[in-house]
Formats: sequence, C-alpha cells, structure tokens
Amino acid sequence: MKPYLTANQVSFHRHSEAVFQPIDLELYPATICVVTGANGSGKTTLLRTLAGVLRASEGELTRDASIAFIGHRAGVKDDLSCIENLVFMQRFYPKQANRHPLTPHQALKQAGLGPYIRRLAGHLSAGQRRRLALAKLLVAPADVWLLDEPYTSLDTHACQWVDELLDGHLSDQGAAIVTAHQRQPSLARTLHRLEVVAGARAA
Amino acid sequence: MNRSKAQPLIALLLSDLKRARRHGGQSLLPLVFLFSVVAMIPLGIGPGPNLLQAIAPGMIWVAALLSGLLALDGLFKSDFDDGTLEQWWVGDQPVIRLVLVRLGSHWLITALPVIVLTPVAAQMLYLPNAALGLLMLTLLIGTPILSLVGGLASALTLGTRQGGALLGLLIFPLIVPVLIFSTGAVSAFLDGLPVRPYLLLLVALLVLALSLVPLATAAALRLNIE
Amino acid sequence: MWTQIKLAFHKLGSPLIFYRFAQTLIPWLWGLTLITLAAGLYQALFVVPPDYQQGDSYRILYIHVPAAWQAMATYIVMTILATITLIWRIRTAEIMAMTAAPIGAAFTLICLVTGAIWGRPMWGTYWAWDARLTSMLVLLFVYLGIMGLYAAFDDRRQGARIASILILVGVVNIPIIHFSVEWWTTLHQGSTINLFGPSTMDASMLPPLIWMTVAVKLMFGALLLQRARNELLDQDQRKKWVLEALRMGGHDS
Repeated sequence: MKPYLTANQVSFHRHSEAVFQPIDLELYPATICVVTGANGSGKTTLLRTLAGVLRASEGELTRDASIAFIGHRAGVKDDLSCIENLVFMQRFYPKQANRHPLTPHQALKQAGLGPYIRRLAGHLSAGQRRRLALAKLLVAPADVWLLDEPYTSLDTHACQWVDELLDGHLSDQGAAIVTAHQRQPSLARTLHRLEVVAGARAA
Repeated sequence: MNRSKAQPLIALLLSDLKRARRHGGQSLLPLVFLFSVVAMIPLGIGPGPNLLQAIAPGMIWVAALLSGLLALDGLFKSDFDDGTLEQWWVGDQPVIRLVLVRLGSHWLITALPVIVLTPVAAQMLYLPNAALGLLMLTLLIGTPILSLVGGLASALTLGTRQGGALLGLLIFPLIVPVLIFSTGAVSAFLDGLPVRPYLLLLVALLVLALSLVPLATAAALRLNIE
Repeated sequence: MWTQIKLAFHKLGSPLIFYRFAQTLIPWLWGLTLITLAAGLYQALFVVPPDYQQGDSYRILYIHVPAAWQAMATYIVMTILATITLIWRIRTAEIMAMTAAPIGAAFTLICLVTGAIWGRPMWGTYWAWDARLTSMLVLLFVYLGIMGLYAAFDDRRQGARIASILILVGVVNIPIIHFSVEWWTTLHQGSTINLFGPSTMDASMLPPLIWMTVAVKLMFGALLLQRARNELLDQDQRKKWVLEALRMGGHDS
C-alpha cells in the first residue's frame, strides 16, 4: 500500500530560520496522526506546509492523494448563507472519483445546522461556524484531512460528531492529520503521534 | 479546458458576483464617483463647450481610473482575513487562473457599469458623438489593464495595515502608458489623425499585462500568506 | 564557474562577512569619491569655457546628467538585487535592494531639481512637460512606491521580498513609460529642446562629465554599502555577530 503523504526531512523556514525541526512522515490510508508540541512549536505551520499553503523550504514532500485543509480561519464567507457556502465548496474543490460527496443539505443536517440553512455565515456563533467549515469535508470529500484544532469552540456534542466524522473517514480508507492541544480525538483506533519541536533560533 | 477544470473557476466567479450583488454598493460607488467628478469639472472650469470638449476624453479616463481605485481595497482582503484565500493553494489548483477570475469579476462589477454609462458622462462634457465609440473602445481595452494592475497593487499591499493609502502610488506609474494611449487615441481622432497605432499599442499593453501581471500577483499573494 | 559565483553570493550573504567587506570598502569608496568629485567640479566650474549660447548656466548639466544616469543605473542594480532576493533569498541582497531605493529616489530628485533650475533660463519656466523630465518624474513615483511598500510591512524581510516583486514589475514598466511619454510629448508639443546629451557636446566639454559620472558611481557605491551596513546592524542589533563585529572593529566597547 502506498502512503498518501510522504514527508522526508521537511521543514519550513521563516527568515532563514527553521520554524520547526525537520519532520519525517508517512501517512497511510486508514491512519490518523495527532500532531503534538508546545505552543509556538510550529504545529500550524507544519499543517499549512503539508497542505501546500506554504512551500516547504527544505526536504521532500510528496502528495499522492486529494487534500482537504481546515485551518485556524474557517475558510467560510460571512456574506454567504450556510447553504451557499457549501454549494460553493462543493463546486470549488475538484471532485474525487473514489469519494462520495453528500449534498449540501445532507451535510448541513449532519453538522446540526439544519435550522440555519439560509442564515448568513456571519451571523453564526463561533461553534456553528466551525461546524459549517467542517461540513466541507462531507460535500467535498478528500483522501487526506488536515485539521488544525478542529475541536476549538465546539461543545461536547459537536466534539463527538467530529470523532464520528474521523472514524467514518478512516473506515473509508481515509487518513487525517490533526493538531489538538486540548481535546484529543477519542477513537477506538491507534492514534499515531508526531511531536513537533520548534526550530533552533539562530543566535 | 475541460469541464472539471473550469468548474472551480465558474464557482468563484458566481460567488463573487453573488456577493457583489448582495452588497449592492460595489457597482454603485464607482458610478457615483464618476458622475461627481464629471459634474464638478464644469463647475470648476466653466461650462464653455469648447474647453469641456477638449478635456472630455482625458477627464472621463481619469475619473474611470480613480473610480476603479475605490473598489480595490477588498479585492483579496476579505478572502485573506476569512481564510478562503489560503485554500487557493491547497491541492493542485491553478492559482493564476483563480487570480484572473477574481480580476474578471472585479472588472464586471466595477468597470463595466462605468463603460456602459460613459455615453451619459460624454454628453455632459460635450464630447462629439462620433468620438464616443472610440472612447468606449479605449475604455473596453484599457480598463482590464487597470483591473490587472490594481489587482497586483492590492495583492502587494495585502499584508500591510494601511495598504489602501499606498494603492494610488503603486498604480500611478503602471497606468501612465494606458492613460497616454487611450486619451491619445481620442485626441488624434478629434484632430483627424489615424487612431490605429494607438489601439494596437493598447492591445499590446493588454496582452503584456495579461501574460505577466497575474504571475506577479499570484507570487505577491503567496508571499503575503507566508 | 557557476558554483563559484553562487558560493561567493552565499558568502557575501552572511551578515558578518558582508559587514567586514563593507567596513573595508567604504572608506576607500568615499576617498575616491572626494578625489574624483574635486577633479570633476574643478574642471566643470573653472576649466571648461562658457557655452556661446547658454553662457555659464549649462554647467549645471555636469550634475544633472550624471544624476540622471545614476537614477536609472540604480534601478538596474536594484533589479539584479531583487532577482537574487526572490530566487536565492539572500538576506544581504534583500537589504541592499531596499536601501538602494532611497538613493535612487534622491538622484532622481537631484535630476529633476537641476533640470528645473536649468530650464528656467532655457525654457523660461521651471517645469516643462519634456519627455525626459516627465519620465524622471514617473520614475520618482516608482521609487517612492517601492519605498512606501517596503515601509508598510512590520516584518521587514517579508516587505523586502514583496517589494522585490514590485521592482521586477517596474523593470518591464519603465521602458514602456519612457516610450509612451516620448510618444505623448511629440504628439502634444512637437519636438522640444533636449537637455543635451554628450553626443552633441564639444570634445573639450567631455572630461568633467566623465569625472563627475565616475564620482557619482563611487558615491553611490559608498552610500549603498553604508546604508546596507547600517540597516543590517539595526535589524540584527540583538544578535551575537553584531556584538562580536563591533568589539573586533574597535568601536565603543
């Protein structure tokens, strides 16, 4: 089985200094990896590098899968309604032949946003916005999910929903990399761990 | 381009247009600006038809240019702030095409209404009807360049706090040639000289801008995201 | 050969080596600047005879013309530095590209002001929309745009890279501006009196121009290294190499 994502001594430099120590990683289908590390150790930068938002300054990064990335900022348009946001996302991300998307309506129901279909995203609470952002994973499914602090501002119920999403995704030969410094994914599976260490600041 | 590749681009265009319609003012603001400038000129220099006619092409062009500046601030800013911009680099999206689509929607929203209502502005400044078609043609070729250059300036200033103030300074040198050839074409026509060279030069500028500016804009966006 | 060039780049890219390089070179550059400037000014003011048409007023061209050349040459230097910045991300190139911009703007301004002073007796006005002066005016705005963009970023290294893109855009744009402005002036005014270039000059008038041009080039080199050195020290003031360099250089310790 080929890995979806391979990182070989990958690091990202900001101002000629490595933000995090070089990372080695092989992400296989049906595996989940939790990125740990102190505040400011570069977890978010690592995830953005793996997603392709940042270009790796060193090392080799190969992606052999479709990628979905949900960052700190939700990636949701405030002046579009929930349903319009999802319709946009479904069209914007290339369709994957091996994945089966839900319709935006179904995804909103699953995310518990059923009553808010026509509400502007800008009028949602922080938790609701996060759920809307995560609903992208259902309408535009990808092999690899890169989730930056997916549990932030979610209540217990919604956190369980995220766990269910991850579980379903992994059963479906998906893979995920998640940063989480408070709540960890609670799954009946092995969580691989990847420790990120801040790069040495040159004196 | 096959359908699956075009789909993200169409999605972006439709969502841009929908959001613009929702805000309404985005198209109105450049128009209001154009007409306030056009109305102020006779008040400032007197209503004499000869004088107004002579300066009409230049004034309409300068007003169109300045009105284009108004809408540039939000071109990439809101996408930058809400995290949709960084999504452009996830996966294998052709970012340059996305940039072109964004600029295209900007042109449709801000420049096209100005071009459509140019005849009214031209009447107010006594531009001869015969020259009107040519003026609109130069706007049709020239305003996309303005959108391209404006998009570049707004991408360059994306990560700055007071970027808006810089836009004019960055755009001015880039737009000088367009202004010269566009208004030159109309003046040449009024003087009975051939206008073909001007139009060809304008088209050349448009081709050059189309091929280089999106590249620089995508690079600038990327550096701002880092 | 290529690898050697790259190696030299990276060596000079190290702040400490650049600092030492600049420290050694700056006094020499200033010294040579003073000598050539003295020779040039002396010849320009006392040796060369007055022009039979313009009298003594033409002598300002010995400042105007080298400044104009340097205003353009500075942009070429910046283009090279910006290219290095964007491809190899070498920090000293970044800093030099950014510190060159105000120097280029200053020479452009000198060119404009001396042109205006010369224009007063020649054209009867301080400002004429002459093709070269107009191009220079636009060039000034190009420089100001680069400086403004760089200054607008809190993160100076990010600002330098983004302003480098603008520098490269400008290098395509400046010739177009020049061409379009030339076109525009011939259209609107017919041909105007040109600030005369060296080609129309009498051979006896040439030596001071050469001296002044060399002086201006040397002055540019000195200013650039000095400003880049200062900027580097400022940006790195808390870094170890700065303390070491200052101690070794025998500065206040």
